Amino acid sequence: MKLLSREPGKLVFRLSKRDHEALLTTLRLRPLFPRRPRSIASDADADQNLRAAQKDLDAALEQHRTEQVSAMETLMNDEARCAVQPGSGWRLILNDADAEMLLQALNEIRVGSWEKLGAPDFEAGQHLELDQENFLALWAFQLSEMFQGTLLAAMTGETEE
Amino acid sequence: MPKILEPIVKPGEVTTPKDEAKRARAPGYLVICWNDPVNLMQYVTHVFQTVFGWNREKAVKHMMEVHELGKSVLTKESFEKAEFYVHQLQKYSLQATMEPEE
Repeated sequence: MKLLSREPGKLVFRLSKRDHEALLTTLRLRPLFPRRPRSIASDADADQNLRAAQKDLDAALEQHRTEQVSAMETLMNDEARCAVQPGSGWRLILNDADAEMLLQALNEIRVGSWEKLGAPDFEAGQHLELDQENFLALWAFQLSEMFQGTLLAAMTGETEE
Repeated sequence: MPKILEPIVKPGEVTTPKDEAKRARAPGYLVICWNDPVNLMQYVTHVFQTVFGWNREKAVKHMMEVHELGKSVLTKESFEKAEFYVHQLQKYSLQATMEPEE
């Protein structure tokens, strides 16, 4: 996945056939990595208002997740935004909202697959043995990180970490 | 067609020292972001800029607090607004919570 041009409100990427397949496959893996429930309060003895807000949060995140999965499918199947280029792979055109949505979706997969792997602390040097059980989660983690890094660098105009 | 100028100070937007003092005393909710070993620093900075509209310098300052101190208090708001910000941050998979200010 390579950035071709960057202008206000519009990013254009070139995806090789392999990039395109890998991105689609990664996005479609999302149901395999459901996220852990998220809490609105750090204190288990949160007040009544916060307990009520937790239900709102759960519902809002579930709705957002459903809408995002559908929007990603629409994006990747919309020839105006993701079109095959004869002889040069695919061209992906993202406006600001599409870029944010794709960034969120990739990070959701990255964090979900990381949780599936047992939430290892790689920064602290924790090593993960590859086996048949965790292979898919590790693959999804690394692919989503790669696409996320490229997208984020394009969005911010900075170099990748 | 003559242009109608907008008043510089719109009705209802006048704040007095008394209002400021009242706001400072009002109970508020803190929006807190917690460290995790998975979200990338560049990503967290971008999310803070997007959700709060902060400049890069402020976003980096809070991101570094999260990274080095384990958490950062991002803002103090009314219950509804704090809830909104927590929702936004969690949509980006950040560990965000809210709690009443003591």
